[in-house]
Amino acid sequence: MKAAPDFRALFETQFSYVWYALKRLGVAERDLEDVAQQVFLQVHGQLPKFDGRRPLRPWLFSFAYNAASNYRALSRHRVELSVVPPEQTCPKAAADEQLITRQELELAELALSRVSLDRRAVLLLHEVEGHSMPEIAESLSIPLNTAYSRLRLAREEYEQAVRRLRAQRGEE
Amino acid sequence: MKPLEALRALGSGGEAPADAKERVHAALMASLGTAAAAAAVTSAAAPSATLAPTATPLIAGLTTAKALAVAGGIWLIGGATGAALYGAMRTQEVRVVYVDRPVLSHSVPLPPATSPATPAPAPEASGSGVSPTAAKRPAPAAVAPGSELARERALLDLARADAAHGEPALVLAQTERHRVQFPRAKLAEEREALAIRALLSLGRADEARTRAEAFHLAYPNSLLAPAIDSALSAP
Repeated sequence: MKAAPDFRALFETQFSYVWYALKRLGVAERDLEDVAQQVFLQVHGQLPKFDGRRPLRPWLFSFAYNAASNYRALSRHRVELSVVPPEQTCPKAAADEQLITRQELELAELALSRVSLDRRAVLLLHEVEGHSMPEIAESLSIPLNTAYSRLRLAREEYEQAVRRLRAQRGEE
Repeated sequence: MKPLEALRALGSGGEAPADAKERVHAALMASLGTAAAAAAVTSAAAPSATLAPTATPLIAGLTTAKALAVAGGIWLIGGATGAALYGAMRTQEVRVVYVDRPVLSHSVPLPPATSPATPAPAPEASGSGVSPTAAKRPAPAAVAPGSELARERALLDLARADAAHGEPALVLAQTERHRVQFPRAKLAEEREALAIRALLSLGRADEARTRAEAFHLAYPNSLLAPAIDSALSAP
């Protein structure tokens, strides 16, 4: 088994990843520091068991996902719809300006926030981050068929959300 | 363009705010007990006080929560009594006494730390000239929601909830956050008492003793001291 990465290095390089994963999983801005801290506490505890041959980010994402699930389980958070400020989460917007407009990226981010959490996790890992479905199933500890099912439903939810948002904006 | 194409173009999100990263790092290192903890916390220069300390205990290890809650409750009763007596004894000095409240349960929603809609139910003496005695406690509204004191208290409430749920690492993390966020904390005495007990629970007895010595120097007449000494001398 390949050695697990050093925790400090992991924190340095992956903090932003965890931060935005939590944000996209619906953790409100004001709670991000606390939840991120708890994620890294848990990561620290589990790091010795991490197989360095596995991709790191899906593994980290699983902690963020569990933390976000628990966070949402508290009713005081359910009433809040976390809408991610697109300007802070679309770093590629400028670079890809010619291909994809900023408006479309904002719309994508907003539509993503409308997808139910379980499905959103799979959608994020697969469509946004490009991980394979077996990797995702393993990271989220779900059967592969379930992962595929969630992905299909997530895409449907996401596309419906895009259609609704476009309709609200008077597009199409 | 097709909706999924925009989704694929989002990327993983960019850089998180540097100040947030620094604060999380400081609290994390402190709670993990690394050698860098002190330096990291010390170097966290004047953190923003605008952040609402609304940490959410997330760990679901509730199987021992009942027993811990009972133990915590006993300690809290002692703490409340001690705080009231302490306030009565130190009438010459205006100070804040933290009166413990029932421990927040993970099974019920935690009140937002700064929400005006959910005033803290606990009485608390404030520094506004009210003598901090049990007999003259101000109404709950005495601590303005959103005030620094209210935010201090909310953070320590979360730490106590973590303590009752058997999560000393989280308690320590919360107390470190408190220390970083409130350099002139009014509730430092209570924070230190929580932190010392958390260190003991984590098996970090040497650190607990060192911190307890500092506690005794800073608060020689504290009525929280016997509880700390008792915990330190427990096998």
